Amino acid sequence: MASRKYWRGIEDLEGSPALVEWVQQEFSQHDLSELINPVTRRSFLSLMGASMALAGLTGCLRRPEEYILPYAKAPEDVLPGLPQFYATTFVQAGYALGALVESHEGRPTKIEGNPDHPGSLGGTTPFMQASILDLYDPDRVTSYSQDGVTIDRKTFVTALAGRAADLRSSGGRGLRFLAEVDVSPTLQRLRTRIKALYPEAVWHCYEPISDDNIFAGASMAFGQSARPVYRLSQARVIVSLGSDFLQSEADSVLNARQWADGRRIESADSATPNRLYSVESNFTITGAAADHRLRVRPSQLDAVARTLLLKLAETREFPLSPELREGLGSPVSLGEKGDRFIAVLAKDLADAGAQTAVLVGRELPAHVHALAHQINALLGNVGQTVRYVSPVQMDDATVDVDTSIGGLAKAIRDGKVDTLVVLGGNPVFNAPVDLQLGELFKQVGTTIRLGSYADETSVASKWVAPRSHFLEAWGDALAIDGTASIVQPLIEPLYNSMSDLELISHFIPEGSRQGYDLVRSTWKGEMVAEAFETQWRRFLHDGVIPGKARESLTLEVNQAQVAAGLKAVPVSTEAASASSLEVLFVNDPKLFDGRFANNGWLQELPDPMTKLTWDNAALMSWRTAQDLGVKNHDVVKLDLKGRSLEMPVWVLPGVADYTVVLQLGNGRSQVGRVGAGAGFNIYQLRESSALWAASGLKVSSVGRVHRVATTQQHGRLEWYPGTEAAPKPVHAEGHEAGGAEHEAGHGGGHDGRPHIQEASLDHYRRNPRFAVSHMEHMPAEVRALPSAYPAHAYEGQQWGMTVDMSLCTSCNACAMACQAENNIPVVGKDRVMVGREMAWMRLDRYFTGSEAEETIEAIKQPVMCQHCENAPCEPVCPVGATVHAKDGGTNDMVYNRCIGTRYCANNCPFKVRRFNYFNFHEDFAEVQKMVHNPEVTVRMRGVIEKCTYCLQRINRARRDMRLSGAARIPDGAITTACEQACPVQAITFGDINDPESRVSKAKKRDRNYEMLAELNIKPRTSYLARIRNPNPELG
Amino acid sequence: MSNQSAAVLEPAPLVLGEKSFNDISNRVCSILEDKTPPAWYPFFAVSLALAGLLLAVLGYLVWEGIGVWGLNNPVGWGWDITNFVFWIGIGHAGTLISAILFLFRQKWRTSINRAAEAMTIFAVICALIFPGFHVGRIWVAYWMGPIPNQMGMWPNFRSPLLWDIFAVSTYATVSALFWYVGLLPDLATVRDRARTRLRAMIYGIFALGWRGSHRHWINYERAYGLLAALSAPLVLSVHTIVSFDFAVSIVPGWHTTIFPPYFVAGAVFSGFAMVMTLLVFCRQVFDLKDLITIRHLENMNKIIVLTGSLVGYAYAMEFFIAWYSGNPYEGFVFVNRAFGDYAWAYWTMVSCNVIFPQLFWFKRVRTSILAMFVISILVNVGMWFERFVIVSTSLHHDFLPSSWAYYQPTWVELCTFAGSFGVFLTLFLLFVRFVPMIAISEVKGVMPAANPHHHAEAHHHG
Repeated sequence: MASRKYWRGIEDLEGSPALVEWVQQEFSQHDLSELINPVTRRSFLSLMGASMALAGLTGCLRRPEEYILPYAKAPEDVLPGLPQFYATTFVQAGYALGALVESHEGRPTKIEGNPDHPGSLGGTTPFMQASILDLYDPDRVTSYSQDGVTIDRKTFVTALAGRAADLRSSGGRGLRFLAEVDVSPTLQRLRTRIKALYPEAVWHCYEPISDDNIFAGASMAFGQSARPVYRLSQARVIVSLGSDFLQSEADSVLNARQWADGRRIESADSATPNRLYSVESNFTITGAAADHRLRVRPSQLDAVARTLLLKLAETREFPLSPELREGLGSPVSLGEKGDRFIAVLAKDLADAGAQTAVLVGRELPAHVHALAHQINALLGNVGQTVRYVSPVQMDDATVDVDTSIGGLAKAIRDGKVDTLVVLGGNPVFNAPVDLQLGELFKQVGTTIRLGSYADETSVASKWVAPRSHFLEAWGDALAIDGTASIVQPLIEPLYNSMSDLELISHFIPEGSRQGYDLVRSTWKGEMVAEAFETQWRRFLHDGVIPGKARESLTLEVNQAQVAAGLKAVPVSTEAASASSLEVLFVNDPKLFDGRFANNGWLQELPDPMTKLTWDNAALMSWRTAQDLGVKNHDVVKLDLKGRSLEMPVWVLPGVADYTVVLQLGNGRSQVGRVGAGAGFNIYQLRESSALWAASGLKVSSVGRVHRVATTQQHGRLEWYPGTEAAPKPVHAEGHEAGGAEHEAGHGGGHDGRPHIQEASLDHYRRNPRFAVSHMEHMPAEVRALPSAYPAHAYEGQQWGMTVDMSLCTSCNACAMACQAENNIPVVGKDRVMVGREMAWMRLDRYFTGSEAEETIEAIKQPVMCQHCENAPCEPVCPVGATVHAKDGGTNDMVYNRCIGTRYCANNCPFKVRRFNYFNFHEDFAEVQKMVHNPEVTVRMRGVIEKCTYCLQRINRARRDMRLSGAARIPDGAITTACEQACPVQAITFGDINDPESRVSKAKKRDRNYEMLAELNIKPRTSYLARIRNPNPELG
Repeated sequence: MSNQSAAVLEPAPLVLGEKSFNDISNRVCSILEDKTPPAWYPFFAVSLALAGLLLAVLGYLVWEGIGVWGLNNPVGWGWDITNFVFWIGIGHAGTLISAILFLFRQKWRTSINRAAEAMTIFAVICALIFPGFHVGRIWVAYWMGPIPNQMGMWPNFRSPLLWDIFAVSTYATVSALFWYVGLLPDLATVRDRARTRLRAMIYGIFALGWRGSHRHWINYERAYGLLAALSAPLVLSVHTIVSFDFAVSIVPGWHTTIFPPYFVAGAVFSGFAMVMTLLVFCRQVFDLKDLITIRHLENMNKIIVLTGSLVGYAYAMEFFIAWYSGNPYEGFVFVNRAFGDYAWAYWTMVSCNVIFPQLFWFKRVRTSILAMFVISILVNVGMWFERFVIVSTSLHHDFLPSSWAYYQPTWVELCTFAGSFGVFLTLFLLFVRFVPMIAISEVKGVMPAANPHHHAEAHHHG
């Protein structure tokens, strides 16, 4: 009998391709298949992001059916309901950042920066903020396995110890380790011991986003490996040669802070901001923050560095040895604008002398770094704005190729590897494609993987052990300047996992296998025995071990060696065109090297420049796209040296022409449920010989469309020359930013709208109050519009905020901190495409200038609820669900009163209100619920939510104040999540009723302005207008 | 005065064909009493199916959440509020015809007022679906009402949405009462003509014991007059308050003082168009050409061309004020309406509402059944688009360009709108089958025979 398909309801049919196709055809604008399919939608959504803290609700609404027991014996120092903070260290690719982690009843919920840590000074990165979500990811590896069979930990450990004993007897022949960059003194101690026990074993080290070029450049210049450490706050002129030092470089948090410190502006009279020049191929946030930006192809950066040195030598009598001069060759022209740019830059540098700094991106080859060292040395910057320290990591992969991943591949091919221990990383995914590491793994007798996920490497490995999250494991780490800190766990491992230290401790017959003991014994060896216990407690409490920062090295540039390095790489004069493009590989600003691909917060975080979520795309300039005949969302085939990849195009105005920028990290094939299907794997094009840049890329349209999701203007209204009204240059000479006397389209910001205010330093000095000039030009009766309702009383402490747009780099740390603090749900790509992202805090990005003139610039504006005095949302709500707080004057949202008319959101001129279109936290795994902040309500579907100024933190401070009997909450006692996370301290929060508070002082600054003040809504959040410091000679 | 000149000056009679009172009763009641016309069944089946679809999609909406609609962050209202304003507007013609024209003693209203009032009530029912179901948590929507409760909650009387609740509920109540009071004599007529006991009982219950006594008639006339006086301001107030939903906000394109009169004119405009569509249809199907004459239709077309011109004036004035006020946000919104992403909707609106109704200046068009049917439908389409343009184009591009987005409906919204038509037509079809669709007693009152000075024989002998 023929089988007949029965269906119970429309749900059964909904998965059918025909229906999905029909729906897509019918509504081709957005892919609604996810939307109409409740099964996919639920499982998909529920696996991501914040929401739903049942823990917070158990007290009143829902009680578990099981027996629950109170603490019979309360743990010491734990007061239920009061969070505790512990210091620990977040390490990413060899860069350590100090962290303070908030813990509720033993459950870590939020990572903040540790202000005492000299490597980060309290600043954070989006990765650091989001890493807490990884701890509770239900897709983590939870069990040990051997050849695909799940085994218990004891069996695994026994087998491992047995294998280690066998290997010891043969001196470690055939034993190889492959690990991430190692900055842990304890790991280094264990490695020394392993080296002694297994003399023939080799420890390989691999990071796909590595600083190898930096070390190689130092070796070329100084004859020894070293890392430059900058003190940018001292620099008056900063030059970035392809360096995204505000975000992507290892020490970005510290560099951003110091760059900002050299830029803080009190008033027009006293303003002396530094000046940042950026020469780059991609359009990075550093380029967006720069006062002058020159876009060049990746191959041209070499010529830029050479020409700059030549010009400097010309401008001042700098001593260049004849061979170096010869090595530099003759200057290469970069076109009229480029040549002028470099000439002016050289003059500016020469004038500023020792108060300058030249930074080179890690993507650039060693000899460009060497040139920068030479330039810094000539300018006298060494010891002033830059110093050199010996690298804190034990390995230097480029110097010794045998210990690199290439060396490992060769050893496997030669049959020399019998046991391979892979600690973390994900080399099978992110190793250079020509190594074919996945294939080689099959030739190894035993591959032992310690990993958090069943990722590409775990799948290719025979033994797999779950790796502890850094909040579960003991460890230690050195910041790039050598500052040591302890990695202190906050929670017992959720899945009986082990850390790198614990795994390799099984290769050492003696000693403890516990991470705690391993770390302690390292530091015991460093201290005086009697004082150790006291000191240890102090380390744990502070999170930092004092006195460990490295001494500066005194290094001389060896010009002959640099000259030899330069001669070995002739400067590229190759022209690029639409038929032969250049490619630049960069790390993903959200997923880094791909390790965060299963992190819903980061996947949905908009890229700081493109605003893309959930995907990566081939980024190119408008001109390039036009020449190639492609537009946004078009899928193109990228052919590079016989390898190819199909992915969509995204036009990022400001990228160098005939250059395609590809972000590494997305497109994982073995990833959890969140990252599945997101993005495209760029590593498929990345070879050992061209890790960062290559030429000869061919791009051809394949006639398909892959819609990518962007949070800003949804891909339709991106401004391109010729298709949209071109905004006027913002800081043109003589131009009054904003201003009522100007025609629409000629104001201070995008499209003539005055909500963005920026000016050149010169203009600012002449018109200190330019940011409010458009208001001051209005007739008095317009400015003092009456409100229909009585004004709110201004009593007690009243909260307000300022955001300094001169400092904001749009690094996204604040947005991620907000998401982590406030249990904000992740909604998924399809809902982002429809325009329903839930982020309370967004970083608006506007372009100015015209691409044809290469004057394109970008400006960023963090936008969250502005807490208006005359809040338009408040009167329109029929049930009074959004109200003005009597105490504090914030605009509060009463979630359980909201019925969801969305009238408030319509009436919000800033569009910061977010509606829960679905229940975004249905079917959360138990472990996921642990990430939620119990102090913040989890919102159900059908209600509006928005920024609260971190009301829970205000309330905590208020409670502390009352308990202590103080009359006021002291200034600085409340730090909002965004303010805390900000590496440049652009956000200030406090009491605007207190004239002495930081925020009151900030609001009194001349460039303070309120967004949309002309509506008489009186926002509590105000902005400090952006001041650019252009060189008058460049116009 | 010669008879000849009097004949020229006298308007066309309101009832054609030398009918007697009995003819009128027979003609109107036969629609109820004869066998159901076969064509009624397929119409009813389709309408009922659409109404069922409405229930299904509303159930889906409540089960899954508002996300099944196409709304997004900047566009919090879309087809939901568009449909609400559209249906509320439709209702206005009924009240205008029954109340205002009654107070102005416009006798021509008698043949059309019953159907128009019924349409008002059905349109209000359809309208109420949308604000009711557009809220995120419908199970607590009653919090909008001033219901004393232990939670200490009270609605926010500053919110135009709350004003809406009072305005629309008052309107629904008064309209229903007015309609029912007017029905009483006719229900009694149907009762008296009933051939079965059951029928007599049912109509008898609804006729509330009407016997046609003098006292009844005196009370009736008084009540009718009072209700008419009560309804008259509602014609103006309801849509004024609906327009406050927009005008009280600060959204450019919504925040305009012209909205109250503009909305009222638009409402009357759309209501008359809908009455026209329905009556032309019924007139043909039930052969009511003698009762609903070309004169009636022509009068209505005159009102359509008047209100259409008012609406066109309002469109022009919005642009003028946007420019004249010097408010760049408002200026942008109007340029964006005409030339932005939703320009197609804007120009659909303008052509349907401003251009096509102008054809009614020509008597040939004004008296052509086909032309008025087509134009009335175009006006319905145009007025729906007017609301869509106001709601969506203002929201999708407002103050900060970073938030701009494009809104488009999903199939759920399409089905909900189609379903509301299902409810409307189902109710209307039941109405024409079970309730006298022409006010029998009132039509009799405007016949020459009802005039005390009427001398049927005089002409022959005069």
